[in-house]
Amino acid sequence: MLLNVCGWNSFHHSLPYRYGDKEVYWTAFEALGEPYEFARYYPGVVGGTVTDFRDTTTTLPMHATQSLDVETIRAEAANSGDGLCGRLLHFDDEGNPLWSNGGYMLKEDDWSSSASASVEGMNPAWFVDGGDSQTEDFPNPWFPFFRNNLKLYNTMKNQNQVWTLQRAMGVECLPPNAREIRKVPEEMAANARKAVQFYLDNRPQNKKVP
Amino acid sequence: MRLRTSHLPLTTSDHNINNSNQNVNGHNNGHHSSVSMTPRSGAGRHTKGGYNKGHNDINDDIHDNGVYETTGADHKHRKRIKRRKRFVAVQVVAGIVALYFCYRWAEQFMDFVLDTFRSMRKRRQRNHSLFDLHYNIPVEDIPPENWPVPIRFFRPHNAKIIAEARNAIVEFGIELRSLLGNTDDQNIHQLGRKYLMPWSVSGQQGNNNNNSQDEKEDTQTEALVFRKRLRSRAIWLRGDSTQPHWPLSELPAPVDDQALVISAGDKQLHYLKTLIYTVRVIHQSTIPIRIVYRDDQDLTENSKQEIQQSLAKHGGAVVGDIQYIDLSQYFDLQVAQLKGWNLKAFGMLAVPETRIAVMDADVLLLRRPEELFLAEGFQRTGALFYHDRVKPQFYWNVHVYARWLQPNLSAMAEKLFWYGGYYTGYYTSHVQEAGMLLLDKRRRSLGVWAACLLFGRVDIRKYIQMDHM
Repeated sequence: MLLNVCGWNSFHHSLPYRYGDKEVYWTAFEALGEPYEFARYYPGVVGGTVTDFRDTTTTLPMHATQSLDVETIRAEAANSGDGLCGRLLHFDDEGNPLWSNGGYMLKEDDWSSSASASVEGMNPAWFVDGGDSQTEDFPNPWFPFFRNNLKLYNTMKNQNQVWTLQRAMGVECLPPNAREIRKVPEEMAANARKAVQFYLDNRPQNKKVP
Repeated sequence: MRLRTSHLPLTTSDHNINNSNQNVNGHNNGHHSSVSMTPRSGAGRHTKGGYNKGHNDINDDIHDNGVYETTGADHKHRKRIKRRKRFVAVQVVAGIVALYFCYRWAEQFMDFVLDTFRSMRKRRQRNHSLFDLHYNIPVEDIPPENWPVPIRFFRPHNAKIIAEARNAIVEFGIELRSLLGNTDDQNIHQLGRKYLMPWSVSGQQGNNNNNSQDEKEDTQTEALVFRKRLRSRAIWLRGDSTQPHWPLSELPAPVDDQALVISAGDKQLHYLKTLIYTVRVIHQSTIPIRIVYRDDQDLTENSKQEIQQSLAKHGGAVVGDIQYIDLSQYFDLQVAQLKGWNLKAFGMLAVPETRIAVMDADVLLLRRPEELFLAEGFQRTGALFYHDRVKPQFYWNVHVYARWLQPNLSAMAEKLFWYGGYYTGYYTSHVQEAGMLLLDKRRRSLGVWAACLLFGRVDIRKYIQMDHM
């Protein structure tokens, strides 16, 4: 009944977001009563950009690999609870990175933009995991109504993360959880860098607007 | 101050006024209330000298004879009165407009209620048929995106559209279950299991051949009815539904193998090249790759050649099977207005391999693709999906639409869209990330058929995807 009354205003007709095809699959399975399962780990993030959501944002260029400087930047970001920005990362049953979605840049590649986020490739150096759906809980990000409490939540044990928008870049970033920002294993990162480089070499140049 | 305006046209004698005020204020003698602007005749002190004798800050310009005197100072008051009148006029107009909208709203809704009852009556009179669905979402009535948001938001028609959508989706869910699902009613055969899953139940079908002649005929009739029903639901299927092996005869024969199914067109060509390079060169995997696309305009011959060339250019590529599957040869995509990401579901049917990883072209594989299939969830159920980012939202989350489609949601589904504690939790607006789907068609092909039937129903798809905006 309540739903009915709310529905009359048809709020969703004014929303900019569209579902795409994503929700159809599990709802179709559910409609039939067919068994299905979701991956054990929630999505995390992989990339080479750390931010404090205000003024300080550090982006590793593509050629920066696992060196002492890179390790220092990672440790500092992890200590101060900075967020990691990049692409959505999915995990296997042990919580190791498996595949990522959304492309090879920090943002959706926008060839009309000259911003570094949409021109330079993503450096798959670090990742934050998304938490275990079987053992961990979500905090309510609305509760104390202050963004700073996200930092508190994200450093608590057994609490999953809250995605936060980095406004200057227009990218959703994930503050680290109790397991912090971790290094992507070196061989995996090298392979992913090859793929990113291949993409940068092969994408159509004529679409690029100076 | 306000009382003064009401005194303007007053011609009655002050005697009457005095009396009436005394009556009204008789109860609170001695209380000088500043809210009631009546002359202070009620207070016992002034009763002798007529009313308002002496210094009165409020009613200075009303004299003992009760006649209103126009003075220079009073000109301001007149102006204010005009302004006040104008304001009142605006209020009245706004009220009338609001009332009109309420009226429109109520009228539309009453129309809808009456229409519903009328159609229900008609339907009861009609012979109930298995081949009719009664509800359609009036997609053409949904306001287009270029309308200003307030008008889209407060339209009275929206009530009708949402109610229609709920009816249509609820009915479609029931239909889906009765067509393909495991029904609670033991008398109804599991027809979908019988006729759409030849790979897993072929042995059981063989056992049924020992029946008597009558039962054989019954089975044939049942199969015919099932095919006719499926025909009327799945307008996108090609072929003749009177043929005994339809619709499986229209699809490629199943092969027990695993494959990557990538849905891409010319727009995603650069992503597609990178993904194939990742599999064949970086990960040195020979897993079969099936690229599904809409038609020759979607993925041209040039693009296919370009992919082969880019592989040949980079040495070290392992040789593996890459097939391009033109979906328009299997399905009538024009009728169901299918394009873009909605084709992924139909790609699942058109691919012969049974264990498939269906993925977007912009996926970056960090490990060998064979490792995808090792997931425990996939081994257990034959269908593994991936979570999307959790995004709290107050209203219009997926769960609304999911509950319409299936009133008895599984405990797992309830857990999927509710995050946090019992009291402090929230609904998330997205649940699934469809960049990757792992499916075992030997076990879960009914789910695949259900997804295709859902995508093939144009109005429901447009409504839940909000493509109409």
